[in-house]
Amino acid sequence: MKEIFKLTPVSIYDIQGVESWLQDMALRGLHLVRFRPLFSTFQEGPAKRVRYRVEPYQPRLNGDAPAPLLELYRDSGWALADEAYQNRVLIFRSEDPNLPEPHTDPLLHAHALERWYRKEVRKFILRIALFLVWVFLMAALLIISTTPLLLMVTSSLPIAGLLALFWMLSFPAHWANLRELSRAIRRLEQGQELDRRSAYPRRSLFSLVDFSVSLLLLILLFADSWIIPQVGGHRRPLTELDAFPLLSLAQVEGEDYQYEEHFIPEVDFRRDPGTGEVEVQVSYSDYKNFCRAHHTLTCWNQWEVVQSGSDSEEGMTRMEIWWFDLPAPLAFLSVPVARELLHVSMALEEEVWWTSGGAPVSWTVETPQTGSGWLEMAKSGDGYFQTAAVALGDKAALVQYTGQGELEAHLEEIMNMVR
Amino acid sequence: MPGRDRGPLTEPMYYVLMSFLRGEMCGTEITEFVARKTGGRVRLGPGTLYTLLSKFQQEKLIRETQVDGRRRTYQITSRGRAAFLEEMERLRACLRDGEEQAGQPSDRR
Repeated sequence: MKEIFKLTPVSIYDIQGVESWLQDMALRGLHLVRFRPLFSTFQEGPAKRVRYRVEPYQPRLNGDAPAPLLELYRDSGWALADEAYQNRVLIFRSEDPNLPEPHTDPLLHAHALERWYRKEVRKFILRIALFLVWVFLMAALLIISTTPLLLMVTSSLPIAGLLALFWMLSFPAHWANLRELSRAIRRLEQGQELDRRSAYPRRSLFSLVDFSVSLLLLILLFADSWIIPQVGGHRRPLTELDAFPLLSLAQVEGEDYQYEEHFIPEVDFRRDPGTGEVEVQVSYSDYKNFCRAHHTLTCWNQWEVVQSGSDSEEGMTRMEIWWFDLPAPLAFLSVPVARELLHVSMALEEEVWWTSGGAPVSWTVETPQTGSGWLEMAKSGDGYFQTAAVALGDKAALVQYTGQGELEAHLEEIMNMVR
Repeated sequence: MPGRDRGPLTEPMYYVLMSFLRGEMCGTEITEFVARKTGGRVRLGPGTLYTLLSKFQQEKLIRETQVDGRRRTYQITSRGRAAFLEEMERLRACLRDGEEQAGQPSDRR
């Protein structure tokens, strides 16, 4: 028989609302198959006057409803309509108007509901605790990170933050639902039976919005953390870089520059969709000269570029470029991000010198005038390590250079990377 | 003593415990006994009865003795019997005090 889905307008904790809604549905010829927080399922049938009653239970170790409860209801003439597992309630139905009510003592009814209420309150408190742990972890990540701003704009942290915010905003509504149950218990404790007819909202989009937004954010978080990073990732020849005009190492080094390459094999396993056989493909990429794209949902365009070489006098030269195209709403962060990158670059160089036992690095920091945009350069005391950070609009970049050339002589090329 | 910390038994509790005094009973038998004994004044729905039986089992006033297909029987324990007798004594005292105050003779001393 065809099943019909209806948006559930009431929370399971509003017992009177649930019973009234189900009874009204039965009067319209829709009989409950499954009661769920988001959508409930009904079967079409003749319109009847049916009573529905909600009964919470303590599940056994295997999660089943206790057999004595089911037997007592069955022996009394009540049929089991559904078991709303997550909330640990049973919904019984009867078409016999003369059948006595399942609960004939308000105080005992209050006792039964009180156990359920206390358990749900504990679950609610646990949710708040998990939320606080989630927020604490995010805050800890930002605090211990050397590039908190960059982490915020290029990781899945913003999505995790949105999820936390959404959960926080949904707490009052969840608590209000629990308060419905508490009100019913207080009424029973005063010796008053529950009203068998109660008003309920015509429809409630809260559950649908709550579920949909939470699910969407969880999917985005999962995709951003585990799937999207796999989309970029491979080393590619420098000739394939087309996101920005590259500052070339050869330009900076000058005529003594010698290009160096170092190929390493990369093994890729692919399954032939036709035959199902696994093919092994081996490709070679230059470990010393490559560009690599990185992607996250909040910053889709990120590039890592490495160029290596040598000169006839001093040996190895190397240039690394990190380039970011921030999302337009976060363009105002391009300069702070660039500044952060510069400081981290300088700190990294200092760490290297400290671990190798050398003297502390002294820096010369300059902020050349470049017209529009922001650029700052730092050069180590011995002149061997130079770093420059640049930002314009929604783009930011960092250049780290080790060699004999002068980045200062290539300000225009550095600014062009973000124009 | 049993019952002293629990407070007085409600009417459904009292009659359910009473139903066990002469032997084991199952759910249907308890419901019928209480309805018959009280002339329909006290009715036990399945939810109320289940809550009571669970509560009594937790407090060790009754124990489950047998599950035979669809029939599940219970038996009162010595603790349960003591709780019932204590409640009965309390009700006697209430009745005595009431009759004395109302100026009616009492033959229940």
